[in-house]
Formats: sequence, structure tokens, C-alpha cells
Amino acid sequence: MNVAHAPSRARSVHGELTFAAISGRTHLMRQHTPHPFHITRPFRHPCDPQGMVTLYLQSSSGGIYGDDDLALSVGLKPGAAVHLTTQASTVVHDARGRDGACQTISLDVGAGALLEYLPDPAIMMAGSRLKTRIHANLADGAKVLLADAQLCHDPEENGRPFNTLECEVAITAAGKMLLLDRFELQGADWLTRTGGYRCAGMMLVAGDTRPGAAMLDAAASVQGVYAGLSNLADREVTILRFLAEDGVALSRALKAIWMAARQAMTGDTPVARRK
Amino acid sequence: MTSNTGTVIRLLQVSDSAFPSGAFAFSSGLETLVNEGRIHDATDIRAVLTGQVLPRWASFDRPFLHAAYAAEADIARLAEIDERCHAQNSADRLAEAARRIGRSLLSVHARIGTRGTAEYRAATSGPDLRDRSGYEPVVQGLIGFGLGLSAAQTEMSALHTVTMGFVSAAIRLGRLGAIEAQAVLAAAAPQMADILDSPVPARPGAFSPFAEIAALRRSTGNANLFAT
Repeated sequence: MNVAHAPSRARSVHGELTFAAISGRTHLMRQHTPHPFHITRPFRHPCDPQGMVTLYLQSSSGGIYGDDDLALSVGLKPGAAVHLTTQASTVVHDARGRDGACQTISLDVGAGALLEYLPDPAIMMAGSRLKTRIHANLADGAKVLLADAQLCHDPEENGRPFNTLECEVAITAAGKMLLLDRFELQGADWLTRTGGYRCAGMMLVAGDTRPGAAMLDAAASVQGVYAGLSNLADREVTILRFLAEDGVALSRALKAIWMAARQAMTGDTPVARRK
Repeated sequence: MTSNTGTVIRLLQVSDSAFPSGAFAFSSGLETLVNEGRIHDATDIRAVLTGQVLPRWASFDRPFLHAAYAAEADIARLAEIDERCHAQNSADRLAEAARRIGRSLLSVHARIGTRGTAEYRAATSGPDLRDRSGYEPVVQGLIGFGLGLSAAQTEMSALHTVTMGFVSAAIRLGRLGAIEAQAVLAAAAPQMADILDSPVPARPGAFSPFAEIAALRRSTGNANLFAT
């Protein structure tokens, strides 16, 4: 079989979630989650701020395949507060000669709303191809905390990494581009560019400049993590960029950085989410 | 002397390490890597140059430079490219370094009469723009056009400048001898040629997190030789 000409079996799917605050408590008002999107029942933690609701995103297909085309739009009405995460890492499977998968996440955060979009890392399997785009648009007084991380996985240790990875994170406010962070990479270049680290990622806060120092301290407390902080004060954007030796260090870093950021933003330490 | 010979002489002038570009104040994260014990010798220096610095220039700086050259000294177009460069410079220390070098270049070239530079310097000198414009690749593109260089010559000059700046920093940090530096440069030359011979990336982007994080981690103490 000539895999270069494998027929397309693209799945083009668009999910949608809308949240609104009613009497100080955020509710999931609308959900459209076609296969492979799946969500758990929303729930709350007592230490969370302003009636925040927590929702787990899941995939009922076991990961991202071939030339999947997945889009998810998340809307927060004014004053809503949402912690949106995943149950586990997302496995990006070998593209097997197809064009590769696309994942587009659109986050529309209303005035005064708070969104934590904290998916677990993407595990880039040998031969996988992925284009991922996260676009957050913030209204006045909105805040967003988001993570984007990848793990280069070569389970057979045979020097066959993922094929290609394109990542883009865009932050806009009132239609104006505040930040566009993007890269394109061949898997063969991963270890050279990361200095030998298998995992890389970022956690970004927009709309609140306070958490930076605490996030950096939290990352520094995790063994096997190399991190640096970028403070883009003119745009109220803070980025903590990090490398991690393995998936364990990466998961610990993501959790520690999130908890530190939340504590700095709200004054309360959140309850760790079960994964 | 042909007009081409004249432009080559100008190319050599502005690409020389003696040209006051301000780039000598920056190490692209190398000083932190040395201070943290992650870089020891010429092999490590070469790895950072070829694995971090050159790829970042190729995928990030080069498209902005190319766009700025193509703007043909049009102030409004240059300002728009600068604005995009600002939005995409997500590492604050590297962004500041790029602005400081760009502004230094603008200042020097305005004084020596390079076409278009005085006008762009004036257009971007307001307090609301000083911290968000004048990025090095944008200014380099403008200067290349203003000097009558070709786009390829302008790119070659910029890549030479960033490479020499990095190697010079390694020498001053005591991790590279003068002869070793020449060996590192010779070894990097094929990759530099490949970069310049390749199509300009359609969209700027960068993934050199090892050096980028090092630049972000620069100590704010007073023992640093470099600003990044």
C-alpha cells in the first residue's frame, strides 16, 4: 500500500459549549457535543471563585486520528467562571500517510468572566501530524488561564518521532490581536530544539498580571522542569514557557503552575482535580 | 566601480562587527546557559547556534525582514509589519533585545543618511510606539531597501550579523577561543546557506524553547555581561 495516497476519511466535527452566570452560579446553558466530543456532568468545588463550574472534556474515540478536523467553541457569558479540563492526555495517533489532524479551539470570554482552559498534554505518537489552534477573545475585564503542552512519544525508542506539529495560540481583545504565538516543527527536530527534553508547553494568563512570579516559583519547585517567564505587561499577558524531562514532570508542573496561578488570582488555593 | 560593487561595499560595511548596531549587548540566552552549567565548550556552542539561534532566525526573523524589505520604505506598511512582529514576539527579553537593536540601527542609519530610516525613526518615536515598534528584522529590511541591496543580500547581512553576534558573545563568555570560533562558523556555513536558499516561510513562527527559556531566565543581578 502506498500510504502517501491513503484516501481521506476526514471527520469534520464542531462542538459547542455555552456557559452563563445566573444568580452568582455558572451553568452550562447549551451543549452540542457530537462524536468524538463527550463531556462529564458539570460540578463545583467549594474553594473555586464566583460560582465556578468544572467540566471535563473527553474523547469517545480514544484520541486524534489521521485527518480528523475537530473544532470546539466555548462561550462564557459576562461574569461566568469555568474550569474546563480533560480527564487525561490526548493521544495523537500515527497519521499513516494522511494529511494530519486539525484541532481548533475558540474561547469567547465575556465581560468579567473567568475561564481556565487546561487540557492535559497532547501525546505526539510516532508518525503523527497535528495542527492545533487556540484562539481566546476577551471582553472587558475577562480573564483566561490556558495551557498548551505536548509530549514527544516514541514508545519503541526507535528514533521515529512524530511527523509534524503546528501550534498557534492567539489572544485578542475587542478585535485587536494582543498575542500570536505560533510554530511549525518537524518531529525530527524536537529534541534538538528542546535541548533534549521530551515535553514542552506553556501556561498563559491574560487579563491579570499578578500570577507570573508565583507560576515561575511553582514550576521551579518541580524536578526535571526548565521554565522561564515572559511578562508582556502592555497587553496584560503573562506566559510561562517550560520544558519537562518526562510526562510525570510535565503533569506535576501543569498542576503546580495552575494552582499557583489560581491562588495569586483569587487568594484561594484550588482543590486538585482528579485525573 | 560598478553600482553592484558599490552595494557590496555598503553590505560589508553594515554587516561588519565594527558597525554600531548594539547587538554586542545580547547573547540570545547563551550567558544564562553558561552560568547554569548547561554549556561548556565549542561543541555545545555549535549545538545552540545550529539548533536554536539559526532556526529561530530562519522561521521568525526572516519573514518579517522579507516583508519589511518588500514594503519599499512605505511607513504605513512598515508600521503594520512592526505591529505584527510585536504581537508575535512572545518572549519579553528577546522582544526587548530586538527593539533595542532595531532602534540603535535606525538611529545610526538615520545619521548616516540611509534612505527611509530618518522618516521611520520619526514615525515610531512617540511614547506610545517606542515599546512596540522598531524591531530588528523590520528595520533591517528597511535598511537593506534603503541601501539598494537586493533582498538576498539583506537577508545574508542579517543572518551574518546574528551569527557573528552569537559567536562573539561565546568568545567573551570564555567558552570559545578565536580559532574555535572560526571552526564553529565554518561548520555552520552550510546550514546558513541552506536557510538562505530555502523559500521564505509564509508565516513567521519560532520553536527554540531551550534558548528562549534561557533568555527569559536571565538573572537580574549585576554580574551579567549581556542583556539577554
